[in-house]
Parts: sequence; structure tokens; C-alpha cells
Amino acid sequence: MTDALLSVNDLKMHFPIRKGILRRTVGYVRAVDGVSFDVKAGETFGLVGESGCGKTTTGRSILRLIEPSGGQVFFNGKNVTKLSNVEMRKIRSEMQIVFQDPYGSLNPRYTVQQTLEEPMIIHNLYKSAAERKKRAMELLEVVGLSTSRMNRYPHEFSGGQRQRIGIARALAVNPKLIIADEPVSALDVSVQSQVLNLLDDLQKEFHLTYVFIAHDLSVVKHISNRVGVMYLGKMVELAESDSLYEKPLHPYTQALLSAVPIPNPEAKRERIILQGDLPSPANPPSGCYFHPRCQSCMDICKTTAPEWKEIEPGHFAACHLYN
Amino acid sequence: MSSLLEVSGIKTSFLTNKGYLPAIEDVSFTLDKGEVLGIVGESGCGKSVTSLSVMQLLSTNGKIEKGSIRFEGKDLVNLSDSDMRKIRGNEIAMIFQEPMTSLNPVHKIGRQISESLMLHKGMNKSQARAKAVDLLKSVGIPRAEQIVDEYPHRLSGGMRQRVMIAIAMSCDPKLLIADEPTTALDVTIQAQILDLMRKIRKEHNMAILLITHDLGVVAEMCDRVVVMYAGKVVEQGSVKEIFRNPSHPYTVGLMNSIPKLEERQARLPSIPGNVPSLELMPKGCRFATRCEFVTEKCIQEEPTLLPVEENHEARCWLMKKEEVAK
Repeated sequence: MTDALLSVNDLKMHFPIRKGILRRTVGYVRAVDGVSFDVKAGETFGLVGESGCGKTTTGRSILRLIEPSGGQVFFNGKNVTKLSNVEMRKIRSEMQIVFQDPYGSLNPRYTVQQTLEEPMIIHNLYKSAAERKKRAMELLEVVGLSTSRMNRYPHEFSGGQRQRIGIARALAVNPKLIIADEPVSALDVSVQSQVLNLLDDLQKEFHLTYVFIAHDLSVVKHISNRVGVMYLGKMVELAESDSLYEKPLHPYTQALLSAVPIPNPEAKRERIILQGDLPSPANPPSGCYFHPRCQSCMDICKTTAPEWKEIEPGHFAACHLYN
Repeated sequence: MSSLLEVSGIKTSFLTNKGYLPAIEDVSFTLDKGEVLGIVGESGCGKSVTSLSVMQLLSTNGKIEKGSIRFEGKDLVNLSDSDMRKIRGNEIAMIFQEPMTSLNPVHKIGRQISESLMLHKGMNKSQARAKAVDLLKSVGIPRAEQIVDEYPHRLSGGMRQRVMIAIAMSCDPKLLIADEPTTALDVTIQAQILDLMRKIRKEHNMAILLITHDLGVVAEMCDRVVVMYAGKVVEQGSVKEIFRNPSHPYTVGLMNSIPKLEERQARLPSIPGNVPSLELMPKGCRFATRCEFVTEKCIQEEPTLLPVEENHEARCWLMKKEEVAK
């Protein structure tokens, strides 16, 4: 795997549950439990799953915004998990994040210009204020906002425009990798397509690599080259986007795909309705985590966790059905 | 045949520091017994204000300035508060978007379901509790006898939405208003809830006013659709016709901008710009600023709802041109 820009190996993020006066650790929430994947330079890797499956935690622990409890993350061949804080801060200029909530992720007391210049100041990119200002104006143009609004505050922008500011801020330090954590789920469909197109254009222009985290399967399909499906802190299936959507192997992926409402009243299809809710990651089921909701559950699923296997070239899944 | 709900020409305004600003204007639609009508549109188009107007649940700075809302012949706009209270929760029930915040966190589930049973059906405490357990079972909640004594925070989002549906169903309403009932839920849970709503509708022959921004949900659930944009109805018709032959440029744009699961597009078509704000509403067609077919007439004069086919109308001058061409 020499061409991988980002390589995540057995990443674990266990949050301790503390109880009592002494705050003793009584257990762990296994938010991410052994996730591995590679992202090639220039591609978009989609990460899908329902809320609570650990996709956001994965994104954040790659950047070490939260300290992972196990596993390694290699970025450009460097082991990110071993870096000191000072080195980490340097490398963060190459890996940036765009957050879900365009309302909460911008400082309401900063003008757009201040927001965009802050990362440049932190990473010591430009010497003079004039240069920074010039760069900020460039960035606004790149994301399709008028430079005349540079001295405005976030509340004066609509949701889609704020998300553009968030993207411009991520671009400010010329990153190689952008982790986009649900960048369009707070937006209306017509605005969502504008932002998706913008992300697409920026990728071509600046040779960006994306890790695109989302719960909306059709959005992920549209933007990603390869897609990983997560369930309860584990990766259950990983494949090229087209082959995943045409021929999902894992029963969870099948159910997830069939649950998406199709905007065509005349389309008839078989729907798999999963029973029950997502189990708690503090107390996951035995064996395969998906077995209590699975329609093709066998005896072995209740006791043994399935292996992560390449079932077809480039198409991985963890399911006993394919053993 | 007289309809169950007849909304005609309502205009609801809100008091702001710039005076009363209309959030919705000239909104009319009808809903028959047992029918599912969808209202679609993006945020800020007035779909929630429409539903709150029907329920007479507008905040104190909002008022219905014009028009009438007839429910089984009674005009709800001029109804006294106490008469309205007899209808609300009893004959018209509502479920909201946020199952997290629409339940009272300090009361047990059972008490919240019993409340309307005791109020509207005159049940005593033990009867209401027994009925509450039945209702919880009917919406597919496991261990209903125990859940009745739980507080809302013990339940997941999907479960809470089931409880909301149980509360709404408690008095066997003739009309259920569902305001984005599945927006806050995951797709697999959304499929469960939509399935439940379909089942309940069939069993009780209840009419549903479904408010959503998701065209996929509309296609699956509704008989007819009303598309709203910037406080006005821009298109309405049967689901099949609207999806087969979307006629207003906004509806077309909206449908094209959804990424499709079945096919891969190189680039998503999108509608440029944003929804105009209430105080800066254009004089002519409200979509004119974002429309690719805009003409001088669109900017000057606002179109009315023009017929496209039978039972299918669109608020667009293009519809008229076609007629002339024929």
C-alpha cells in the first residue's frame, strides 16, 4: 500500500465510563473498535453508517482531536499517533476538517476575514497582514462568495454560505487531506447540491483527498470513489462505490440501502425493515454485533465475531455468510 | 363530496420589528377522508407555519390575517380557544419533528399518553393507563408494561417518535398532522416509522397531512402533493403526476438536485442562489431570481396557479404559454 495517503490501522477509541465518588472506570464505550482502511491520494473515501456507529469519532481520532486509545494512523508514511503535540500541530496544516454544523463551527465574534486568517496565523504561513488578506480574498472567491462580504459576521450568512466559509477555512492552509464530517446534512437539497459540486471542483483544482463522512447513502454514493460502511464501531463492508451499491454483500448494507426512500412513486421494490434499535456500544451483543437485527442470522453469528475478508477483488466484508 | 379539511387562501403573518410580515400567503388545499397529502419545500418555505395555522398553535406574535380553515365544515380560524381545545388532540392530532424535545422530560410516558385520554375521553386514571399500555403495544413498543413507567430520556429517538405517535393516536383522530416526523431519525428507523404510519392509516382510515422536505418520503407515503416555495403554493397535484411531469421550474430543480442511488451523475444539477428573505420578497414571481426560464413578465407580475393537467396546477407563466402554443 505505497500509494495510500492515509492509512488507518486497527484504530480504537474506547471512552471510559466512570461511576461513583471515586470515578472508577466501570466499563468502556467502544465507539470505534478496530477500524482499518486506506485512502489513496486524490480519491474520496466515503464513510457511512447510522448515528452512533462511530463514523465521526473515527474522523476526529484520525486528526487526534480526540486521542485514540489504540491502533495507528499513517499519513504520508508518518505515524501520526506517535507524534508529539508540536509535530502534530505542524502536520495538521496538511489535514483539515470541515464540520457538520455550519452554525456552531464558526466563531460568531469573528468576521469572515478573521476566521479565514486564523489558521494562517497559527501555522505562520504569511508574513504580512496584507498577504493574509489577499489569501483570504482568494479563498472566498474559490468557494464562490463575494469578497465584499469579508467583514461580515457568520450570522449574516445563510447555512449554505456558512458551510462555504467553513470549507474556505479548511483550505486556508493548503491541506492535502480534508475530513468532511457530514458537511451537507444540515443543508436543504438545492443548497446541498451546490456544496457537493463545490467540493467536487475543489478536489480537481487542488488535488485534494477527502474522507467524506455522512449518513445519507445517496450523497455518499454521488461523491465517493470507495465507501466503507460502519456499524457499532466496526467496519462491516468496504468496496468501490459502484460495486457496493449494486451488489451489497453484508446484510446490514443491504438493509440500509433498501431503507432509503426512492423519489419515484412508481418504483416498486422489496424493502428490508430492520427490527429494533442500534444496541449500545457500551454493551455490544456477542459474536457479530449485527446478529440481533440480522435476517440471515446463523448460530455461529451469536458466538463468533466474523473475520474481515476480501470476498471479491477490492470488496471486503465481515460476515459469516461468506465463509 | 365535502372534504375533511379545506384550507382556502390563508395568509399568516408574524410581527417583527419591521411590522407584520407574511410568512405564508394565499395557501389553499383540501384533504379528503383517509387521504395522505404531502407538503414539501425547503426550510423557510412556510410548510410548518401552514401546519401550525391549521392547529391554531401559532406563537403570540403570529396571526392568520386572511382566509379560512374548515375542518368538517367548522371554521377553525374563528373558533374560541375552548372550542379549539376540544378539537386539538382529539380530532386533529399532531406529531413533531423533534422526538427529543416534544415529550415532557419530567413526566413518565404513561402520564403523557393518559393526559389526552382523561381530558377528551373522560377516562379515569386506571382506564387511561390500561389504554396507554395498549397504545404502546399497537405502535410496536416492546415491554409496554414497563415502558409506561419510564421517563422519555430512557428511550431512543425512534422509540420516542413511536410514543409521540401513540399520544397522537390516543383519541382516534380523523386527521394527523405529521411535521417532519422522520427527519431526526436514521434511515433504518425512518423505514420503521413510515411503515407504522402506513399501517395505522389503513387501520383507522385516518387522513394524514405529511410535512417533509424529503421527496423520497413523499413518493412513498402520499396520494397528493403540495409544493411550497417562499410562502406560496407553487405546484400541486397527485403524486404520480408531479413526479412524472413536474411543471414548475422549482419542482424540477428540486427533483434534479437529489443525488440518485440508481445512477451516477457526473455533476449534480443545482438551483443557484438562495430563498429570498421575507422582507425582500420580489414583486413578481418569487422564484424569478433563481429561475432559468425567467422572462420580463415573471419579474413584473406574479403568476396564479394555472392548470397543467386535470388535478395538477403550477404557479408559473410557462403553463400559459403552452396553452397558447396549442
